Amino acid sequence: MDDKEIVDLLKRDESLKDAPRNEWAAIKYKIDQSSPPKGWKIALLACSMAIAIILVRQQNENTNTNVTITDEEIYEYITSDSYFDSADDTYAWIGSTQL
Amino acid sequence: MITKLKTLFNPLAFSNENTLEDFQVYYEETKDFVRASIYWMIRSHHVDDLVQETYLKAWKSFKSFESKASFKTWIYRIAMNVTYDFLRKKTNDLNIDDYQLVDTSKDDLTNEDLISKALLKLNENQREVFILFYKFGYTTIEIAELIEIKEGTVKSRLHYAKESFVEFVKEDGVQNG
Repeated sequence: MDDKEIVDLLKRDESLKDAPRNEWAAIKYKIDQSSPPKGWKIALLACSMAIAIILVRQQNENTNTNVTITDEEIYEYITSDSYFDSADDTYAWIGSTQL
Repeated sequence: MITKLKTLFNPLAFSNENTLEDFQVYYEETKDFVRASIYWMIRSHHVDDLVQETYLKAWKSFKSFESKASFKTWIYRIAMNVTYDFLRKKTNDLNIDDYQLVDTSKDDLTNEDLISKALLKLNENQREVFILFYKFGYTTIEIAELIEIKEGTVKSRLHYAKESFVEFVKEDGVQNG
């Protein structure tokens, strides 16, 4: 039995039946069944954004170390001049005979 | 550029570059080949289920499928994975209905029965190569590329498959006509 005879023998076999007419519909149905519901990505995105906003806000609250001060304290701060009150030692080079 | 931006800002478009409509086009193009490939491997009415399973599995990874690659090659590999799984399971879980054709008495053998018996005598690897070569007309190089094995391996499997097939057919006689 040569190759051509084998090919001819296989060609004569017509036992393969046609595909069912609704094959694509059946596949599509299974695909729909196995897929997550539509709009889940939008819901997921919205949830992620909400969580991100909450986390950022919470972090801002935790890191806000500003202290509220009164008007009097501000006035005092502005008008105070500690420069002349400072009792810094004279610098080492003042009065030096070396210079 | 605009399309890319639209895709980027459309939350539904992130993983939907390959749509179901695209998939259906590929299905229409390949369904006969897939069906025949599976049927000639299993020679049973389970082909309908396995075709559906093949396309369902293909759809699950279709989003990552690059259109540059050959869909036919890709779907064929999936179909064969499904088929091999089925054959493995069937071997473990024998069902007499699956072997209806094989159990036909010798006197009632039609050509189809004879071919089924002869094919099912081959091991799965040999059968796959044999069918691709003699039924679908692939060359040994094409088969090697399709199932990702060396051409020498293809030739070897083909040789043993042919030997076994011919021996069986000669013993049982071919009904010509």
